[in-house]
Amino acid sequence: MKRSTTIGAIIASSLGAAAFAHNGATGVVLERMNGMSAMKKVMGELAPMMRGEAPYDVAAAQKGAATIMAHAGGNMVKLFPEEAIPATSYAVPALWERWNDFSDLADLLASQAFGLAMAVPNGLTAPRPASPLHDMGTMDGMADMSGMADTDALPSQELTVAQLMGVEPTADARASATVLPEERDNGVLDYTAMAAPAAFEMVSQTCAACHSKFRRGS
Amino acid sequence: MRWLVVPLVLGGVLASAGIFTVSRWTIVEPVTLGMMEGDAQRGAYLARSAGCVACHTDVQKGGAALAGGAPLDTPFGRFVPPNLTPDPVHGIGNWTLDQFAVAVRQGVRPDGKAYYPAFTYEFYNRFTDQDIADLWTAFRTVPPVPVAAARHDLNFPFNLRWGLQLWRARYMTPSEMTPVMAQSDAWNRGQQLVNGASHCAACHTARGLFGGLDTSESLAGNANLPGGNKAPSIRTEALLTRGWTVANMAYALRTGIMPDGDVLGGSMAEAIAQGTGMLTGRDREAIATYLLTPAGQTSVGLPTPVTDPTMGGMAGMEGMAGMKSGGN
Repeated sequence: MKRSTTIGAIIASSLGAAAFAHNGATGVVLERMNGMSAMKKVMGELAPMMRGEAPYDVAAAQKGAATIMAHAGGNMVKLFPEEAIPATSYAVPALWERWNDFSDLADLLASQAFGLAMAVPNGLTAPRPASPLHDMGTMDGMADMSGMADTDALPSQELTVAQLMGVEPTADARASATVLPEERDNGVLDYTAMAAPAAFEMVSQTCAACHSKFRRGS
Repeated sequence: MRWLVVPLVLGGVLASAGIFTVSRWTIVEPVTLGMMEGDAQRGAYLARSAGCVACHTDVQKGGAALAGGAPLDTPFGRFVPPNLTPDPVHGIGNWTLDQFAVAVRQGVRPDGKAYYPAFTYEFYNRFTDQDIADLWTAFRTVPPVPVAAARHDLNFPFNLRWGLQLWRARYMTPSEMTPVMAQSDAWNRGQQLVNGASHCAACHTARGLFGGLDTSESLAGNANLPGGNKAPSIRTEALLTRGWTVANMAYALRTGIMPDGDVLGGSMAEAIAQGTGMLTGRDREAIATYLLTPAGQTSVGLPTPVTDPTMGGMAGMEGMAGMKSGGN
């Protein structure tokens, strides 16, 4: 049963890949599609692990982090030469108009993937409650990032009125891609003291930030 | 030519009288909340779940909270979410609680004119008096900003606000929700969020020529969102065939990570960062529970298993295409 499911999945994914090839992407567009797909695959595989649903596999998680690193930063931006955007591409013109924003996000992704690799051995919970991500919150805030499978740690119960009303930033927002790289990389993030799911979510925030700015559709 | 004068004048008078009548058409149901006490924490949570803060704050440009949001470019023209801070001149500082209630639940301004449905008041009609009082209290904690947001810039004829009176009569679709005893608390709470405060249908349901929600295709997706974004179908069957479960959807509503590993961008990224990501985990699970429970059933549906290789291929392709997999 398990085996047939796996085979089915393999066939499904190869058909899926074939479907993309038939979309007609070629050259550099196809290359970046492949890079994005490789990262997507990693995110899809690691997410259940980071939620505590699938067995935690240090080696697989580190390999995944390495895959993202390999497709981020300079390796990503070099696949986006300025040219007329072919219909097969999901890139939007803003990507070249705001090139620095894009390349900052690509670099940020590389450093966060490196951070993820450092945080992976910590597993689902932080080794000590020292994450700077929560210096604005209470101890309860740790629960949210500790990756206790749950998304359930009720983060907003710790959010203040000012945070909910947008008057003050949340601890999360300060770690996200909406913060300037120099503020963020100011040595305040100690990945060795971070739960792996927290580092993993930072990677996803960067993916989301880049997709919302520079990808067509959703 | 003289014979033309009388009919023309008469026609003009009749048209003016028609417009006058329509524009004076009373659309407000009176509300009396008086001095009802509100709870700021509860109100702030509601303001966040309902998107008040996300829409009326220009987060990308670092704008002050509730001081006016990023413009929304639509086929009707450009809408600018106004300043809702307590500034008495440029915000809503001189409003009464009752006026606020009418604005939020009925979509009518203190001067009796209608709001455009770009303000999603249709989803807020079930807010209780206490919800309104809580929201009001929370809104009043925000620092006043003495600058008006830009005005809307709408195309003719949509710039004629009296036309909204007709729009309301024909297209306004106040949210519907019915608590169901047989369903779990999570389902009921999910219904309240999905159909009410969190107004999922505002993006995930297609709109007609005049911007009215196409309720016959509720939550079936919308390919024409402002800014060229697309919202996929979030009907139960569509979600189940794409591998969604309560756990992975609750997680996606915080992280943006979809079951196949793609990460949501578009306006959903903002809806997550400024909305669902700040809700309680329980509320995210409630949203997922409601969306993933097939009509007429009391438990969450199972994602379509991929067993038969042929069918599996089909499902995989459809799901991937639907989610813009591998997009770049």
